[in-house]
Amino acid sequence: MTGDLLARVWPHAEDLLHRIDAQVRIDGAPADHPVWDLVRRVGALPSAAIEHFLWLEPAPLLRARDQMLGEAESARAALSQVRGVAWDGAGADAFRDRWAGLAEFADGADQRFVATAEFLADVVRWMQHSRDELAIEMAACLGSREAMAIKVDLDHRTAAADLAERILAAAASCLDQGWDVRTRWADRLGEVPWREPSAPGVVSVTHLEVR
Amino acid sequence: MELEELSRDLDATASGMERVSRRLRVAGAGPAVFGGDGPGQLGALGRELARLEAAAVSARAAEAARVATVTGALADGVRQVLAAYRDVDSGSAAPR
Repeated sequence: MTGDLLARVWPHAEDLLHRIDAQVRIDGAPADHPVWDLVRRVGALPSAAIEHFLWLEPAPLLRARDQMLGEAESARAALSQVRGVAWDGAGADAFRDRWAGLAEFADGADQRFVATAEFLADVVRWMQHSRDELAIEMAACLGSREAMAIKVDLDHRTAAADLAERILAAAASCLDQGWDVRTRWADRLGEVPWREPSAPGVVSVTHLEVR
Repeated sequence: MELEELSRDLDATASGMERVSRRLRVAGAGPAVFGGDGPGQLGALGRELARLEAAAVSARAAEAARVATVTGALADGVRQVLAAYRDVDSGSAAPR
């Protein structure tokens, strides 16, 4: 658990959220209350939804992003080991064509390495943004008239449903933004197959400069 | 001889790319890091993000392995050409 705003607000809000959960679960809410749609949409009551985000850890994803960038750098270093060479003779054309095709494929692969790292960074930004948004909403709920009503057992059924609606609406918004992250990257990270050059094995006498 | 150096360079590139691929084959953050064990739609999103990441890492490993394989084959090809040149130089090449 990171020590951000959500982690700091949670200890103050935990009891209220569990009471909201209990009220909604046991006493229910008016049948036409918007909270029911949100419970179905998120698939969780407020405390479970907040705890879900509370336990999301950006640090392993940042390490995975750094590893991906490191591997991209290693790949570039490996490819740069092929030094310039002058080659006049049979097979040079075939080699040149194949090397050019490989270099083009490797350039594309390098971009996909970086894209994979950017995807992970995007997920981390979404996690952190979600945690901040939920913390702000919880803090607002803590100081609300409805929270006071729940504490003093005054009209707590409606108050609990109203607060549950606020928290789940924020969680649903975070959920939508998470699916947006998935949609943004879904078609950009797949494997691109290697295609053999169209005329492999062409042999002629030429001059070749690698790089 | 330059072709000898070229084949060695290509071998080094192939080895480097194979190491990248090997490391990536055991990489990946895992579903729990994305919240894949969470409730309802939150868990579903986490599992989907984890699936996307695992597929992406696997794709990068496969692409690195492909570069290693093709580079290794190029090194072999250069060595064959080199051997043919040496045969000619030594006068031992069999007539076709």
